[in-house]
Amino acid sequence: MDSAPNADRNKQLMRLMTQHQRRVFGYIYTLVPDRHDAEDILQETSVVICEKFEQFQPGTDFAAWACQIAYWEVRRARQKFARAKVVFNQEVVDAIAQTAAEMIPEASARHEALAHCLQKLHPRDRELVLTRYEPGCGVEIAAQRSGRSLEAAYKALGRIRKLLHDCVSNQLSLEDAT
Amino acid sequence: MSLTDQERLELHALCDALVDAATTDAQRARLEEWLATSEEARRCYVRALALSASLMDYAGEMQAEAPDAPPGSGRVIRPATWVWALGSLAAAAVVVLAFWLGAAQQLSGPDEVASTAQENGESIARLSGAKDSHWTGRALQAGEELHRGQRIELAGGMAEITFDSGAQITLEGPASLDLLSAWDAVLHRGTLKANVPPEAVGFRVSNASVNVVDLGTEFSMIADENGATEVFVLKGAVETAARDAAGNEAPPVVLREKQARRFARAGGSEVRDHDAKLARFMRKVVFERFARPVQYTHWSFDGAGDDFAAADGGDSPPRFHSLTDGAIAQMRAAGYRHSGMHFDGQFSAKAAFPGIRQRSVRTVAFWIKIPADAPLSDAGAMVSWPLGGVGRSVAIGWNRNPAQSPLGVLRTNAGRGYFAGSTPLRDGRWHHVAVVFSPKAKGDKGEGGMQLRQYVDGRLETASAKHFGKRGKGADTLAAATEDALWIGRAMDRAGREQFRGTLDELFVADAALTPREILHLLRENKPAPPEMLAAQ
Repeated sequence: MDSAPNADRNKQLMRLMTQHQRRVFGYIYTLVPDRHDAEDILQETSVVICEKFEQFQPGTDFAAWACQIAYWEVRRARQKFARAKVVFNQEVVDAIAQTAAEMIPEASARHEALAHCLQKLHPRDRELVLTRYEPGCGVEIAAQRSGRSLEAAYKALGRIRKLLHDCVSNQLSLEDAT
Repeated sequence: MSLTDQERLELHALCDALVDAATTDAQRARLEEWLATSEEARRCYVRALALSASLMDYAGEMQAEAPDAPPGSGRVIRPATWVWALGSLAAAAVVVLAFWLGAAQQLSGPDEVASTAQENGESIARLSGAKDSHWTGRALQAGEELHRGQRIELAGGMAEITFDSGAQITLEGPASLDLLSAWDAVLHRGTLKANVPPEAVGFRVSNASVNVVDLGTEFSMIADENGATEVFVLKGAVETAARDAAGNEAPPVVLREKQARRFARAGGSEVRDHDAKLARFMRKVVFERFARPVQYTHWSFDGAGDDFAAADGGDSPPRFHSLTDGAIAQMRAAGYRHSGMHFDGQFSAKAAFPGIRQRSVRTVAFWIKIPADAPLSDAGAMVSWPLGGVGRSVAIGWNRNPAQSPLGVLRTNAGRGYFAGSTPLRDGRWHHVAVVFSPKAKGDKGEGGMQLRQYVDGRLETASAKHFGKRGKGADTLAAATEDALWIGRAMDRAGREQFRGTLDELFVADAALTPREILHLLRENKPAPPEMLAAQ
């Protein structure tokens, strides 16, 4: 049978991972801008987090700690990648990693604001962008479902992302001002 | 040096191309150079990529499971088809979570994991009562949800399990029981007593020696370590089929009230100490039960004058307002109890309902009468409300698409998927409908998963569930999406623009996942089940 402190520790691990998983994924995705690769690295990262969880100091920033682990997993994965899959050189990845780590605190606010901004989109645009990002879908399926040509879908997605980006920034600056 | 507007636009375009896997080598080199030299470009890039990661999260947020068919109904719906929109990111979450649980196994020993490993699964029952119970491994708590595939290991004492079908089992330890579905369990050893209401006829308990299918009754089973099993019928009748060592079933034999039979690999035989055992099963057991407060909002549509459309009780109860020209009081018609609200295919109404959009546990129940000749154009939603924060909705109506499910069956559209039941509602008769929403805690099968159960006339519906990619587009979706309100007579986002034709009565909205018994109480008594009744059941 398990001892109570261990069980509590496991619960704490589960809670923290569940709470911060999205943020860790976002961080990995900025370093490896391929959804499937990023998901694989997230999984590897989770394994290491489980192994090293005893080293985590309760009360400190779990997301930052997890992203550090993710950074080393990204490095490891890049070594295994075929040359064609490597998007940026290591120096650039390191620079992005540093910027991304500094921006972890604003990531949650931007994620929340995005929900509000999605509501403001025209339903047709919202449908297109959510279909594009739906698991298993992509630009082609989104184009088909919305009755657009592939080229028109790319253009529309660019416009919608820009709208969302501006809306999120605008909303956060409004919140800061109040 | 800060970026010019033109440079920002170019940077965004490069990020878009990267995200959509459409960059040329030249574009990639250009982006890399920027990221190597400009902190502002890096910040811009991180935000653009994070936006895409967030969109993946929102797009994959809806996932659901539907209940399965009772054994022998001839419709088998495989789990894989219930889980729609469980995309790769959510799937990764499952894998990760499964791994964490696996890791916990090493840390905490096998017992805890035997029960916690089920936490990812679909809920099919709950532990509704316990008495002096001891568990092998983690102790289960009264009120706890139990999952498909979970093994219940009761070391001693008694436990009561209520399945989503309404079947109720009292287990006496030491006992070992596998939960296969809302309609199906396996007794490996120990003693159980099953109470199966008419709504759960078809509930089955089996093991290596026998398969017992309930025909509406109370029965008991005692399984010993060697698999030999005694079956006693306390009330009603059951169908029993002996199983041989190879798992082949003998032709079924019906056992009736007070009859008993022993099943072993060697064959069937009489039960010893029949009367003493029967007397033991008839004992009343007082359980410790789980009670949770439930908040109900109820529209009886019986009030006089303007109160016709107001919910019962409270200082300022939620009140439906007409969305069309007709005055709401003109929609009064004969209801299931006293008066109800009639929808003529034109009329619809809306009531403010703070918090309804939250993805929390909820049950919506009502009586509905749909004309047998209702045209497909009048298959609008009976009840609808927003779901979450990104313009999705729930709409309970009837199915008008024969390619997806039988025409006229209960159909709940939720987010980007639907559940369709099996009982036709379009027959000019009153039917009681209850839809139970149990959004899963974050971390269970991805973030924000949802489980949905549909009951028609008190019986858990077999259901098919699918994800559909394309949603109807209503011009007023946007306005509707910003309101915390309940719509009746049409879908809030008016997909397809159908309106509803029929009569609605006794609408209840509860902030809990009601149990089959609580739903039956609404059906029969038209009021919430009082805690003392639930405690004394």
